[in-house]
Amino acid sequence: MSGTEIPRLPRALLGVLLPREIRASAIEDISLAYRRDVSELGPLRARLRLWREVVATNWLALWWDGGDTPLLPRIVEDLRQDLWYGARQLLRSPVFSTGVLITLGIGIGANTAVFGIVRGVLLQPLGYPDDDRLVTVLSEGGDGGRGPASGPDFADWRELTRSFEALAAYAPGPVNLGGDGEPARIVGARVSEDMFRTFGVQAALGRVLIPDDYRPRAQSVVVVSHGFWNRGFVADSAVLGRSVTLNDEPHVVVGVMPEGFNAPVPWARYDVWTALSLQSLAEGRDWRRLHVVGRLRSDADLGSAEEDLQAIAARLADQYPASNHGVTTRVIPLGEAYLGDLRGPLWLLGLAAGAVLLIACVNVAGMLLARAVARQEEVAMRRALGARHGRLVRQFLAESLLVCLVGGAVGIFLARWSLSAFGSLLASALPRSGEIQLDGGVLAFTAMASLGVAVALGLAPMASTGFAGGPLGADPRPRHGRARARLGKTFVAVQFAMTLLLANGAVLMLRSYLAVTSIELGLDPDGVATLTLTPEGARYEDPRRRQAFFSGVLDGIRSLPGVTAVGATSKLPLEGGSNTKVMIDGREGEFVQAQAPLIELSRVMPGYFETMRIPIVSGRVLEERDFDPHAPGIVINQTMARRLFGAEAPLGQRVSWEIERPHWMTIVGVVGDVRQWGVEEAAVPEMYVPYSVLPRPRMFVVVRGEGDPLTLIPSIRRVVTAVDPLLPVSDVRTMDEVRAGAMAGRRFNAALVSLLAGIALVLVTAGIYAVMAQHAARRTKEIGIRMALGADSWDTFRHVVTTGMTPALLGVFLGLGAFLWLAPLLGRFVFGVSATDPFTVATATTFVVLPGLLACFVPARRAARTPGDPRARIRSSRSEGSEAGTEGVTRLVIQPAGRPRDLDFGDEPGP
Amino acid sequence: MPKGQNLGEAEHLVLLAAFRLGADATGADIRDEVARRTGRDLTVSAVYVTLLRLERKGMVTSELGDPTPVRGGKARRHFTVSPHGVELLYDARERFDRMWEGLGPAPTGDA
Repeated sequence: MSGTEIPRLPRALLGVLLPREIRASAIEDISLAYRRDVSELGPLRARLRLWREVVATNWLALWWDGGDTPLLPRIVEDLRQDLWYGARQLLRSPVFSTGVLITLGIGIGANTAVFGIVRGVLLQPLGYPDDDRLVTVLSEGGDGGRGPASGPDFADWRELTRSFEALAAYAPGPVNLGGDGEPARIVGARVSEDMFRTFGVQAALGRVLIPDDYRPRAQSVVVVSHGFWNRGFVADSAVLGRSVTLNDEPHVVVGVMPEGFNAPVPWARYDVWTALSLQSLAEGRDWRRLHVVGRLRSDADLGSAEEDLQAIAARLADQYPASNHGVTTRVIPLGEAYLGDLRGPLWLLGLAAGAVLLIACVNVAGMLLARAVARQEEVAMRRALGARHGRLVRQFLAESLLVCLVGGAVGIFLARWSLSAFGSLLASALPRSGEIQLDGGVLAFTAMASLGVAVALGLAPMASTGFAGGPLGADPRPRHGRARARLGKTFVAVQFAMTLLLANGAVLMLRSYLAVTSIELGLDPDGVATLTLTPEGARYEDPRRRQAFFSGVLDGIRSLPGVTAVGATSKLPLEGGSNTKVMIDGREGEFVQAQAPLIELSRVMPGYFETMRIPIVSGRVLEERDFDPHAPGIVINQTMARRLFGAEAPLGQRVSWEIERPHWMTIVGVVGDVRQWGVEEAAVPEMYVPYSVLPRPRMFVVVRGEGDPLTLIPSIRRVVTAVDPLLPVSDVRTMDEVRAGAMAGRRFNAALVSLLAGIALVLVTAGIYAVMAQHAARRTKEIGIRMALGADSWDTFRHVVTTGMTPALLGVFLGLGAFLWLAPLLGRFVFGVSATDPFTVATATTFVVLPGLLACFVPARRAARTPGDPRARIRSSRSEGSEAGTEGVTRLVIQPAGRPRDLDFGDEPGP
Repeated sequence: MPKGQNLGEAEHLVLLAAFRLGADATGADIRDEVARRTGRDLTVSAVYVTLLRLERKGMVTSELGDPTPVRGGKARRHFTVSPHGVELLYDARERFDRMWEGLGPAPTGDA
């Protein structure tokens, strides 16, 4: 190229952009101008001017009103033609099209659903202004346990910290709703002054809580949620100033929060917010019951805020060693605190869904590949008639675009269906499940995924066949046969590798789930119902009245027909608890706050152990005499007996959690361990104290009946109403449901990963069957020659199976390698089984290989059994090939020496 | 004036430049003429596409000339304003003149 020639790229661009009639003239003029510019202005400025020609021309305006073949309308028209042509092609082979659309629909649908879940639960912002500055502050004990803070600690943090714009505490707590209607239990939170400021949200109607509401003897006020306003007040805008009875106390409604406000816990569905009493802030420093959230100042970050609070905590530890020794703080982003644990399992699910999509794509690519081969004559014809390469590329891309868009639509349908089908599983296993929806973001994801798949699928067959049409009438067999065969084998190997990976994951999740379900909980949940009663408010300020209430209710239930046992506890097994530390009578000198183990504390009413069938190991269960608050008897579990007393006999020993002025309680019995903190959490030291020692309002009543325990609920309700007509019964469940709830996460993982693995297995099996059937059909001719040359049925059978299974087994080995590589990561999600457990691997491999073998056997048997003369077979190859969609096989040239030229023997040795 | 016979600003400039240059102006000549007289630096492509549009509306005609006398030079299209185009130009001028009637010179900046 001489120095004054117009450079290639701008020239090509102009060639595309300029209308045809004036293209040559304009480019000639531009070239002349360019030459002139080069000599007058120098090459650099000449180039700049040339590029200005390309960039500064308002092409869009020109196209719409310019030449007779403007580019953009031309593209649109071409696309329309291509799509129409593609649609006709697809309609012409409905079986093929249905297969492709279902496969793609499943792949895209699985990803759409999983992305919808991930987006709703993890990616969706919490929805508050600058929510990246919202944090939760946890108190971390010397024993490593993290949790809520005590009132006085929170008050000191709030006063001394310089890192927070606002710091607020709350105590979650359902409350009893009284008034005219039937009593009900609603979701509430008692919040400190700065709660609403922390979240930066104002009331939609009225006001939020203000400092005046927290003064002693201030009128009790309540802020209600949008949902509660709708339900309880029929969205009456004159709600402000009306009275609501909460825990028997009238509260004046001062505000309605905007729709969607759900702080502090983002998925709690709060009904009401009331003021946290000053009394809560003045409780003992070792009563850590307040949850703390805060908004960081703009000049503070997580690290500096944590440093700041830890310095304060260190000062408090020095000042109050009895309660705060070794206690420090942690600052965690709010989203992380509530959703952090879900990240791993959800991303794992995302990976599994991605693997399914990859398998689906490879499957469809295989089908399109076979079709591309079948369409070589068509391609050759179109080339012969003058179609340019680019035009054909566009045609193939448009067809795959069409397939993927329709596949995407099928996928969206499947995703919608599966999300509603799994709705209850999602709700039980995931917080924020209400946010899961197929919104614009998810649909955009689906569209992008479909487009990506479309490009990949459109290019794959072209890359392999290269439009090896050649002149019409020439041998249209692909010159790239070997390459295509290799690509097909790669597809099979990749599919098997991915499926094996998924199958291993699924078997691991299933085995983990089974391991969890077979765990001994230490009690017998079958046939037990539970309900919550919370006698609180003015009428129950006197603890003796609460005790009398529960005694009355339990006596009433005990006398019901069909009830075999009844009791009550402050904390249901599997649902967490509250703990304390104790000192042993006679060993006070040994007690060191920081080293003493945490002891779970359950308050029980008589009959609890019998109802739950918790076995007595030694001593006895609590009896009426143990309920004397001045000389109480208590029951401990085996772990506590072992940890505190070792070889010593625990019976008759006395313990106290009051350190300064001990209030001794005598151990009268030892019971078996119960899993208090979840199915997968080993039992911890636990003691059961009589309700009278610590008569707090909320108790779970447990009832064992003959048959279905839920049938007892109506009569139980009548008993409660007879004792107190104003007190609501809430949270009615069976213990089996409690157990299922505790295992929901496991069940969710096992169900979804198994489902995805199952889908993958079906896709792969169908895929390999299709590939093998086609392979066998395409090789009818070759098989005929092999048989003519002396191969028997067994040889043929073996040949077909080996050809199919070799890449499959290669894939299996690759999958095994990948699985072993990923095993440490998977280890975090399994329970009761090693991630590399040989039985798991063997099971998964069998599950994957067997259907693969079967998929090969059927076509292989057909190939080997087809009766008749090999010559007929060879002659018939054209028509059979056509049936299988491979009209490409038209001519057979047997050369006297060496391998027949156009027989594709792949890597197999010649006959 | 029939509908669709209005002149856009670029069309007006290009048509007028072609008219000034007389018969057989090329796109580059027209661009240079516009640039010299108005300072508007149109691109060659824009001039050509505008000319194509004017030709469709019957305001200019074109024919291929001799190849450019350089190595590899190609024939260029030469444009001439049609009588219809001339008529439209004078119509446009008359309309503008009538609109300007009675208006003084441009006000100065410090007025």
